[in-house]
Order: sequence, then C-alpha cells, then structure tokens
Amino acid sequence: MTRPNDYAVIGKKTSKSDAVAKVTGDARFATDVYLKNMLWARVLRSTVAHARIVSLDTEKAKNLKGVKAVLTADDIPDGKYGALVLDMGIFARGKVRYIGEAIAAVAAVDEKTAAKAVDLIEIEYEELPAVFDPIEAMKPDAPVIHEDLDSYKTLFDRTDRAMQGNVNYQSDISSGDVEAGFAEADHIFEDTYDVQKQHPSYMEPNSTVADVDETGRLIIYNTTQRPHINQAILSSLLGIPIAKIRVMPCHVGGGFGGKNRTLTEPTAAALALKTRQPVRLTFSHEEEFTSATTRHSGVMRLKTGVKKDGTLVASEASLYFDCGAYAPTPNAVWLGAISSSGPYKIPNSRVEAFSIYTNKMMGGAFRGYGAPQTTFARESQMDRIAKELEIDPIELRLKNCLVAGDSLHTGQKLHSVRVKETLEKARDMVAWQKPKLAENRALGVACGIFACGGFATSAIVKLNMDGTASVATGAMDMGQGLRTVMGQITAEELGMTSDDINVVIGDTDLTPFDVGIFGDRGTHTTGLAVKKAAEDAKNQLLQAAADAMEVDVSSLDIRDKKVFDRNSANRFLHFRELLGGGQYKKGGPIIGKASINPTEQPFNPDIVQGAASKMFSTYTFATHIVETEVDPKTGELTVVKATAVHDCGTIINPAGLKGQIIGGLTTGLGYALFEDVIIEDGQVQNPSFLECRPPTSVDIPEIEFATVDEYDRRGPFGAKGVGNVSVINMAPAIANAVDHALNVRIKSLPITPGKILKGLEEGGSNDADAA
Amino acid sequence: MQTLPDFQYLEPETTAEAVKLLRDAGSSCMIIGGGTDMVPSMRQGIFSPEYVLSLQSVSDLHGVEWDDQVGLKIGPLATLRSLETNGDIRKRFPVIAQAAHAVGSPQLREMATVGGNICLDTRCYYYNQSEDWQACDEECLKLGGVVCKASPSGRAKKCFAVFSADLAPVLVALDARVTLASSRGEQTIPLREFYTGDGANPNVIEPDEIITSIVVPKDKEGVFGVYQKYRVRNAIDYPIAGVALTLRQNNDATASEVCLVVSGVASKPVVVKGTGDLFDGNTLDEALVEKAAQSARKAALPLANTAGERAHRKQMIYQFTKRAFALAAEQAAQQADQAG
Repeated sequence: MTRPNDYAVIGKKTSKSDAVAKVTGDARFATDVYLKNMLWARVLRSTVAHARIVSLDTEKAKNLKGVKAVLTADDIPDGKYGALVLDMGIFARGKVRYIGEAIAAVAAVDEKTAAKAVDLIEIEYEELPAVFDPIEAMKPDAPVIHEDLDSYKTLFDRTDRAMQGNVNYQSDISSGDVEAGFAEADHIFEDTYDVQKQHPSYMEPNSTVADVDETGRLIIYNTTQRPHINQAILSSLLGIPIAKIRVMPCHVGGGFGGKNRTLTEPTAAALALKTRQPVRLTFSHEEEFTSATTRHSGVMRLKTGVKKDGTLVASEASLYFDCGAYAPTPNAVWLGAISSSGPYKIPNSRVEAFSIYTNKMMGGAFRGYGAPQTTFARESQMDRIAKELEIDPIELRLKNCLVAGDSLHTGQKLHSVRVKETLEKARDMVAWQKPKLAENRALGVACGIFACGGFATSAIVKLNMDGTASVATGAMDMGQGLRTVMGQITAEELGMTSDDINVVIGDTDLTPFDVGIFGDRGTHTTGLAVKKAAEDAKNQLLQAAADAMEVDVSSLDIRDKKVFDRNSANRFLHFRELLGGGQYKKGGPIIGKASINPTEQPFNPDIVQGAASKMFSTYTFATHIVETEVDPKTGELTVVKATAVHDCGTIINPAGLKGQIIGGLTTGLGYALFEDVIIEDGQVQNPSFLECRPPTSVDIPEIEFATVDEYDRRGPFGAKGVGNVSVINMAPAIANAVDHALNVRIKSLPITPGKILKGLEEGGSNDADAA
Repeated sequence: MQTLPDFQYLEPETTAEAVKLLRDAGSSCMIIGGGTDMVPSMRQGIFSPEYVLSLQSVSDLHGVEWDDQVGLKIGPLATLRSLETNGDIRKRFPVIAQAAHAVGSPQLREMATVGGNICLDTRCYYYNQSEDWQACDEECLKLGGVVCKASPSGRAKKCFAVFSADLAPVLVALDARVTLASSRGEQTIPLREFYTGDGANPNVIEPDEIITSIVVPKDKEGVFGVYQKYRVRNAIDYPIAGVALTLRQNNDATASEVCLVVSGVASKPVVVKGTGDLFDGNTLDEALVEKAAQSARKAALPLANTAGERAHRKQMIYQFTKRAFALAAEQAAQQADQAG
C-alpha cells in the first residue's frame, strides 16, 4: 500500500486551476453567453397549487410584436423524465400540481417583451383539493396528485408500497430480527423529528443558452453537474438523437446537488429548435425558490432499543420524505435510509422510507442528499439515550460504532471505516471531559456516515508530443475542485506535474460519459477512471520506451517526465523523445482510456428492497463537535467553534479538502439554525436569499479540522469523498449542545431562539441557572 | 431575471431645482437615495414610477456636521457608512454610529443613505413579493387590495406591514427633527411625528417634498444611548425586534430624559409611553426597569409577516429593554469609578 508521502503530486496543496479566472471575472458562466440574434425566454407558471387546466390560449401572446415563439405542452412531444420515476414533462399537461410549475414558455427579442407576452397568455383553471403535508398525503382519502402514477416508467425495483396513492418511491431495509431485538432491549426510545426545506443557495441561478448550429445540431451552454445526462434527457424529451446534441457546460456558479437537475435546458432547447435562433432562459432568483428544487422536508420517526450498558440492539425507522409535486431525485430518500442507522452496528434493524407527493415545490438533490434529515434524527436520539443511561455521549458512540469488516444494516460489508478514530481524535482536539462546560456553554457531538462513489464514468488521456498530457472526462467541476484533482491524479500517474496536464471536463463532444457529480463520487469514482486511463497511457509509453531502449518493460520507471532503466542509472529517455515524432513512427499516438461502472458488493435483495442503486463503492465518516453558548433569557445561540474530523481516505488536495469541509459545515449550520423555505397553502412565503437566510461570512464559527489516516483500496490512491458527510452533523451536534447547556431538546429544524425559549418555558430546564 | 420597469431619470443639482421637478412630476415620481431598498422593490414591480429623482448631485444634502448652536446636522444623502466613521458622531452620539453599523452589510452601508433609512418602506411577507407571486392570491392592501392578509384576522382593513429601520428608532429617541422642503415652502417636525403607524402610508412626507436635513439637538449631547437589534443572522437582515434607549445619567445617580423606542414590531418606531415620566429624577432601580420592560413588551405588536415567532419577538423586546438599562447602569458605574 503506497502512502501519501510517497507521492510527488498527490497530497500536495494545489491551487485550483480555475481560481484566477474566477477571481478576475474572466471565467465564463452561462449568463455570460451572448449570441448573435439571441432571444430571451420566460416561463408562465402556475398560480394555483392543484388544478385542471380548462383552457390555455396563447394567441394574444403570439401576436405581440417581438415575440418569436410561444410553446405549451401541445407543441412538444409527450415525454417525461426523472431519476427513478419518470413523472415530469417540460410543461404541465392537462393539470398543474404546484404553484410555480411551468405551463408555457415564450421566446422574444428582449426580456421585457417576453415578460409581457407571458402576461398575455390566458389560462383558466378548475381548482382541485390540494395536500401539503406528507403524512396527510399518505392517507387513503388524500387528493391524488398523479392519477396515472402506476403507469409511469420507473428505474428501480418497485416494492409493494411504491407507486401507490401519493407514494412514488419506497424502500425497505430489514436485517436481523427486530421484534426479538426490542424484546432483548432494556430501554426503548421513540422520537419523531421534523425537518424543513433548505434551498442549495448556489449564487448563480439555473441558466441555459440553446442554439442550433449550421448543421442543425442543438448546442447547449448551461450550468450543470451532469452534462451527459442533460444530453440524454434532451434527446429523449425532444426526440432527437444524442449525436445531434452538444452540451457545453460553462463554469458553474455553485451547484451543491441542486444542479444535478435538468430545469432550463429542455425549455430553451425547444424554443431554439422552434425559432432557429439562440434562446436564453435564466431563472430569476424568485424562480429558484419556487420552481427549482430544495432539500426534502419530512418527518423522521425512530424507535431504538438499547441494553443497559448502551449497546444498541434494535432499531425501527420510518422516514417520510416530502418530495413535492414531482420526484426529480427520490434517490435522496434512499441515501437517507442508508444513513438512518448512523455509523453504528445495530444487529436488528428495519427501515421503511417513503417519497411522497404533495402540492409543493419539488424536493431534490442537495449536498448531504437525504442524510442531514436522518442524521439529525439518529444523532439527536443517540444523545437522548446517552443522557437517559448516564453514559458519556462519545463513549456511547464508541461502544456502538462500526469498524472495518462489520456489515452495515444494508448487509454491505465495509472495508474502509475509521469512524472510531474520528471520534477519538475529535474528543482529543476539544479536550472533551464532559459536554457541559459552564453555565449556558456546552459541547455537542454528532457522528455521521455517507455513501460514497459508484456509477458509470470514463476518461481519456492523450499524451502530447512535448511530454505534456490532456485528460478528458464528462464529470463537472461545480467549484468543489474536481478539475484540479483530476489533473493531480493524471500527473501523479504519469510522472508529470499538475501544470503539465490540460483537464477537459463536461463538453459532451470532447469528453466521454460520466453520469454526473453527486454522492461523493467525483474524486472516488471519476478519479479512479482518470487514474486507470492515465495508467493505460503510461503502459503504452513504457512499452514504446522498452522498444526504443531495447530492455524489458518491467525494468522501467517513470518520473519527472522521463523513463528510466532501473538497471542502468544513466539510461533514460525524456517523454518528448518518445512522443515527439517517435509516436507517429511506432504504433501511433498514445491514448489511454478507462471505462468503469463499479459493481463490487451489490445490495443483498434479502435485506434491501426498492434500492435506488445497485451498490455504493464505499462509505465516508466524520465526527463533528460544536461548542455553543446560549442566552437562557433570549434563546440566542452562538456556535463558538466547530471541530471536524473526517475519514476521507487519502487526501488528494489539502487546499480543496479544507474548502469542502468549511463549506459543508456552513451549509450544515444554515440548515441547523436559519434556513427554511416556508410554504403556506402551497405558496413559498420567502422566495429570496434575504428571507431564506443562508449563513453569511460573519455567522461562520471558528472551524478546526483534521483527518484520520485511511487508505480506501477502491479509490484512486486510496481516496474517498468529503463533500456530503461534512454537511450532515451540524444540526444534531448543535441540538445536542443546546440540550447539554439548557436541558432543552429541540426536535424540529431550524433550531431558533424562539424554540429554545419555548422549551425553557415549558420547563425543559432542571438547571437552576437557567431562570 | 427580474428587470427594472422603464422610468425617466432626473438628477437635479440644487434643492430648488429638485423641488420644482417634484412639483411638476406630481405623484408619479420617486426619490432615490442609495437605492438599496428601493431598487429590489422596483425589480419586483412593487413600484413603477414614471420618474426616479436622484438627489446625489445636490451637494447641500450630503455630509454630516456639528454646529455648536444647533447640534448635529445630518444631510439626508449622508451614507450609513459615513455615520459609522464620522468623528463627531463617534464622540458625541456613538449610538448613532452603532445603529448605522447594524444595518445590512458594509457594501450596503456604502450605498444606503440616512434619508432612505428614515423613509424606509414598511415590509411584509405579503407585500415584498413580485407581481407573479401576488398573482397567486388576492391583492395585499398596501398594493391596492382591500384587506391586510398579515393582520391577525387576515381580513383587517388596515395595513400591518412592519417598519424595520435601525437608525430611525435611535434618531427618534434622540428627539431628532426633520426638515421637509417643497415648492410650497419648508417645515421642520419632530421625527417621531414623521411616522403615521399606518403600514400602507408609513410617513407623512408628501410626494412633492424632500428631506433637506435631520438635526439632533445640541442639548442631547452626552446622553447615554444604546441600540439592541434582534435578527436571524449576524449581517444583512432587517431587525425583527429592536430597542433604542437614550437617557441622561446625572451625577446624583438619577436618570432623566429617558426615551425608549421599539422597532421592527409595528408599522412605525414606537415610543414607549410613560417611560420618561417613570424614570425622571429616579435612579435606575430594578422595579422601574421591570416596569419599563413590560411597557415595551406591551407596545410591541409583532405579526407573522416577517421571520421569528411572534411571542418570541415580544419577549426579545422585553429582554432587550432590560439589557439596555443594564448597559446604561454599567456605563454609569464606570463613569462613577473614573470620577472617583
């Protein structure tokens, strides 16, 4: 096993290759694309939560001067798309299911004309009873939001309870004997936790410029985490071959999972195909908060059986995720179900997870992807257990935590687990003795697990004549630093420096397929394909050198852009001597390639039903400890410090890792304390950054972080991911700290001063000082 | 993207020219200071004036100066950032700098003006929304509808939008005067009388009037002042409960000129009644402070039209009042120590 300190490039702090362009403003984003004769698009959106469309008249809009096209569902093929359940079309067809749903779109010569035209579209609704609460929506007499649900195409193994009523996706995980487990337990804890909607708060709104080139091909400039899936969806929705579509993503102004979606592309494309002019569609920030996607809200119920000594023996989790009116990514529900057991060994466990339609804006992918919801529940309850049993919260976690070789409740055997070490290191970093530090000041701990990696990807490495190289992959950099990491991996494998590598990402004409960036798969899975492609190129280069030097290939080494003969220290060939000209004489130019779709350890169908994926490569772990101060008079809460310890395998770029951890904690902090997309009668009350309140720079506490030594044999150079797991612990850690400080247990997010004070008034406190 | 509606831009260079332009434009003109609040509202379609008149080029309306005869003269075009950094303010009325600092973010304070903060429009979940948003429900009263959807009954004929300025409550507490000029003449009124308490029309300024100066009287120099702001985040946010307290600490440990103003919990900055009499000539003892805090809580009428739970915002007013008096007592003790 090679350790990081043996590497020339891996593990070295590397500046992001696009940093300067972004800071100077030279980086081109989708909204910077202005094409000749470009039209501006605008979308007519539903003003009612649930209704039949009685009539839709676009005549007046079409006749407005400057309007080039008006499209409704009647003007396009009747196609649907979605990640697991194909339930959504480009425009509402026959009925609308939430306020903000797209009904029609206009392309006009400027923004104002487009807006005027939208106002001229006449629509008549027949309103239907609506349902806004997921638990209500599951009742047999609830309004049915998708009447034809059963006929929708699905891409998962349906369970009996899936595709019934308003349940569009359902999964079950069942291991051991839960009844026997509870019978064996000395204590049983039952709790219900409520979690809210949180918007990903990327600064750059969804945006597409669609063009039709001189050969009739559709060209898409956009902001996305999954260009190749965009391309496939456009092909299927618009009925044109993939070969006739080129997706050319620009720099992404933040994605956080929210751009693992296809929102503006099909509309802009349909309008461009209709008008044969470039069309730009950019969401307003308001549309971001009404018609894009948020983290799923929901209700998490946990029942856990524990022995007197703190050993977890049984767990039953019922997870109700509110996916809104469509289910673009119920995969979050599946990932939430996996994380719901925490990083713990629970021999008898049952999880049922539901994705439920309501007449609200959609739930979708967002950093943490289902796990912030279930981790809030699991880790809050772990502290309740610790308190009741009078066991130190860290001791309780250490007693139950998974170690390598254990099986997760899904039956997957884990090969890379250092959660115990994260707990121990975090405990040492804060010099933990007991959680309560002083009057109103306390520590709170939480510990999390997240699925990492898997799914199809590929990469191509080309060696240039001068001994530099180019690597291409269809994955995207959304600011997390993928471009830099792919360059480092290629450089390390080829004995080059990062500066020698040109990294080409995203563009579907130039890069091979990648399924998209989500679920901590960029570094771990795309990185593995890149490494294998580089290895393929390296092997070809070594063979060329062996032929030239007339030695056996096994005696050759590669470093500093030279091939050395290990048996004769003075004999070497520079890459450019091998590639410059020589490559054309012997065997042709060198291209390395790799195409992977990891299949190790698929889920066991006896344990897991309704899985949204066949497997995950590995798992990442983290322990976070926060120090908080609460004013018992006002409920005001300050997170003074956060300490994060991660098991992310080998670190590829320490600078990127730091950014990921700080960013993840900040998103977690906003989820814990501030953010809430408030919906009343189906309408978002606070559709803006101002009122949804993601944290500002002055809200971020002091952050200290560390990693534990780990090498994951399935990752490139031993690497795992860090993006998701860094989000999920903040809310429970803060809730736990509040409880230690004031004896007030908050079970709904966000944790507001009002809730804390209410908890105190309701006699939550036994502490004399909290008067 | 939400685009600005079309308008004609006016930029007079003198007050005389400004009031003449306003007279001619009638009610179809809006005055822009820094635009930090007005421009987002225009983008949402809340305002679509025919004319937008900027006072940026009227040099008389800028700046802050101390006048020994009159007091502190603040130009309506002075930026909030300039109040934070002005030497006279920091020395004579540090509470003004403190309140200015509490607004928005450094970037916003570089643009935002005192006049704009005083004339800040009231805010509400039902009002500060785009035309698209409004199209989903009956129109809000402040936008021309007939009932206030934020009112407790949801059907009130009075608008309950909330006044959320940080600086105004402090200036009210300091008994600031505001001078209004129009082609009809000039008038000076106490700032506290500038506000109506009607969410739909929060202040008395006429469409043809401009603010030409704000004066904090010289006899307020040396009073203790403090502003307590409750908001969700530590920056950007408007107050959802605010308390301004000013008072004079006398050498005999008594207090006088006590003024308590609450903000962010009604349609105007509310001067808490009776507080002045309560303390006048008395020491700041606990029972009196408790009484004042209870009066302040009573004066606060928060509704569910902004962030925060209503009961909690009332409680914040109560606690902030107590905290403000505690800070006053602390300062008095320090002064006594220094004097001793």
